[in-house]
Amino acid sequence: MKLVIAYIQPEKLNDVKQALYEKDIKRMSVTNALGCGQQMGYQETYRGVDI
Amino acid sequence: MDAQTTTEALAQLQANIDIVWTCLAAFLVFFMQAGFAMVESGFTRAKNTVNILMKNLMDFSIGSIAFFLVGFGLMFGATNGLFGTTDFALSGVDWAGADWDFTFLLFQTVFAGTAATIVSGAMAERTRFKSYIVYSVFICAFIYPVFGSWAWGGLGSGGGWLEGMGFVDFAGSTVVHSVGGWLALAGAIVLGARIGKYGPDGKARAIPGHNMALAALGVFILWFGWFGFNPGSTTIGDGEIGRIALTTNLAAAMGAIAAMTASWLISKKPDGSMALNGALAGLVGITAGCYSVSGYGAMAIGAVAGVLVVLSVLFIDRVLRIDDPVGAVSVHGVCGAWGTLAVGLFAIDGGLFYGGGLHQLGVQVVGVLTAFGWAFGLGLVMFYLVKKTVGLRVTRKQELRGLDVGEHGMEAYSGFQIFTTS
Repeated sequence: MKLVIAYIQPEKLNDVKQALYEKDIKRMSVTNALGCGQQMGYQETYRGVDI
Repeated sequence: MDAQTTTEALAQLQANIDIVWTCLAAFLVFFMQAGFAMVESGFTRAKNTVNILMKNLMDFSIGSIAFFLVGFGLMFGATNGLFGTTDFALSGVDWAGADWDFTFLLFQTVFAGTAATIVSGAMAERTRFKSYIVYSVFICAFIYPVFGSWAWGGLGSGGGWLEGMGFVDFAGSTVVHSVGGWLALAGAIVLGARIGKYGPDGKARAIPGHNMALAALGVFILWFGWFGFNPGSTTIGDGEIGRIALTTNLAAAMGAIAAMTASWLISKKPDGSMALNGALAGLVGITAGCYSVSGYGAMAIGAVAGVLVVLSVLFIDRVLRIDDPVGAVSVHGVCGAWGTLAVGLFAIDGGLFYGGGLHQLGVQVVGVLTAFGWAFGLGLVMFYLVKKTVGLRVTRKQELRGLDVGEHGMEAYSGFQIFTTS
């Protein structure tokens, strides 16, 4: 058995699950994480002020 | 039936229609309390939700009792020139009867409650609950009714100097909204900003509200309730209800559009919270003139209010550096003043743009300035005294952990995982 730890974008979770399922890999744990990567996050504003 | 009996029957029918309509309008205005509660909850952080809901519940509940016992008499009793002196707790009324005063008092109570609840948003996330209760008694028992007696006393057994001058504030841009808004300004100043609102360099930081869905629900509820607030203020069940409902709706719609456009131009994105404030700004703006302007006038009043609310929020936040989490001062104080002045410009009868000259506008200015002096001045004194006696602000530890746990010992979203870094 191999343990794979992967960081993915939240919206890719379903694609990853489907791909693994097709390879007959059916066991995984998923947890949420906050942070930023190469995209350097994104800009939010609230009532005219940058967050 | 002879002619006299028919006339009497018709008069009786009209009187009953008036009562039914005014009660229905009062129930709609009461529902605005739910709107305020949702707007203020949505625009603030999850850790202070129980506190803001409790403030909304208690300012209306305590306000209702205070207005019944004291406020109504000061506002609508026979006046001594400055305030009313009779009709406290409807003294002398037949409690087994169907007197108009029951309907009228209920209708006026929900208006007083609206003025009271405006303040809670501006003082959100840092005020001691006990101090807020003290404030609730003062506004409904004294500050609101005394000013109200000057402008509206004649609706009851009184008669005030402002209405004597010809001051027009049909449903309360000034009497209700500006009075609430200027008290909110005084409260926010005496209280100071939330921890973390301004950086060491004095620059304003964003403290995002935790639920835009609740805020939007609240704005729609307020918009709905305003169909009682403005059209109900005739207290007469006839065709004018429709006209006032229409001017009210046009102004609200233009307010939302104008605020969205203004925020889009100024900060590059159509800000949801500003557009929601814009609808309220339009509603507050049209409240004074809803009876006396045309559809075009209503749209113009709403559009100016929508732009004004965005500029005012940014000005108060960045230049004056006063922390008003929900924009209550801008929506109710500033746009209430604008709407009241706008009567002097757009009133079909007497407005400057309709050839009425400057007289009405001048009278409106007197009313607006009087409201500011009375509510802001008394507000500063009252909140300063509360600060020195009961204490106005929670401790730093309570503020950081949230007022829900510190003041009420409970959480609004128990069992939900709420992640917060502010």
